[in-house]
Amino acid sequence: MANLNLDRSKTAVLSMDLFKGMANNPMVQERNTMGNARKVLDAARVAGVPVIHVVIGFREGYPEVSDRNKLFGGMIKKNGLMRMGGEQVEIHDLVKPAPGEVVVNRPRINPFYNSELPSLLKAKDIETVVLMGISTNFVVEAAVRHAADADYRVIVLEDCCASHARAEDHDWTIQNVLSRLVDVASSDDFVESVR
Amino acid sequence: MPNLNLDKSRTAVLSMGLFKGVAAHTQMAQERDTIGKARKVLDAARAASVPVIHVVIGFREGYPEVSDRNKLFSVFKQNGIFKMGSEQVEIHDDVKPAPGEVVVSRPRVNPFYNSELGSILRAKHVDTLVLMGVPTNIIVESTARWAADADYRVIILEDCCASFNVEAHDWTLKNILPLLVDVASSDDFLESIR
Repeated sequence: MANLNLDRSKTAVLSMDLFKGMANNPMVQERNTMGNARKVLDAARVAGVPVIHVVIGFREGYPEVSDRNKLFGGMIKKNGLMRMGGEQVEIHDLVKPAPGEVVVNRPRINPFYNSELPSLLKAKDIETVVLMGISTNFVVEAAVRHAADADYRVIVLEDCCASHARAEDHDWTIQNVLSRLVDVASSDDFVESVR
Repeated sequence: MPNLNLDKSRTAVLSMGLFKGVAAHTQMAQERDTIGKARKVLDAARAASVPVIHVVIGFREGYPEVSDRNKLFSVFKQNGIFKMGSEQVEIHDDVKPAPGEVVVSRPRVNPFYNSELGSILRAKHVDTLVLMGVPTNIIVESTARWAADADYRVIILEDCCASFNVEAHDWTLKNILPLLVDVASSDDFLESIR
């Protein structure tokens, strides 16, 4: 197991889109994604490492969505998906925010895009972000690509991520893209490293 | 062949990372004539007065742009690759900028990140981006993801992109990019601005 050499005072855990609606996904069940993420949250809380919860949720009428945006303007808006307050975007009970933890909404896929996330991280002088989330190839990968460009040290906890439908989508990006751009580790690595 | 319904006054072509080194070392680009297809697109865009912007990378002496927290670029720094002015980052002769075309350097993977690209596009009131470049799954995909979030309409010309291996190119074009943006061919573009 690798020691991640974390400076706790400059590290934050981002828990992204771990919603109730994702819990029935076979990959999430088989790999116990929610349970692994919970272990990470517990360890971070004990170690005093801040946890930030990233969510998505559209207002009535989808005022956030441009008709030029293929995914959000097409499938998501047309089908009334990801509505603010809906169960689809309610954080799963196992990984709910603890009192005082920040929840950030985002209007696009990349959690840094037009959200309060960069200001929140800067306010805490965070240099290292530890990522967990669903799906691996959308919110997590977008966060990885942005955070790497923004000079954060980035650690993806592979067993705390899952793709939406197929395990091969998760495995592909972990092996071929994410591991080239940033560090990939496990929940156990993190728990050991903040003990 | 689908008509892409382009508003020429609001469209720009981004030609990214089509360097001499790509043509020389990327087998896929050789086999599929990626540079030749890109050239046809540039010629058509120029004839139709659709602006072309060339996106390049190139680090200054000592790599002052590179953070030691950046895993991929630290590898570039250690190995002395992508140095400004080197042949590795010289645009291929067939797709060189024409007089007056803008060349933008980027210090990171995503060409919008801390570069002048966003301001240049806004100055021209561009809302539709046509993307060509190498590698598909790194620079082109980062551009597509960012530009989709930024509410550009994005069209990737699949046959004007290539990766270091065919599998990486095909994977993202099958599983990721079509969900986020439009995928078309150089012929589609030529037809649409004729």
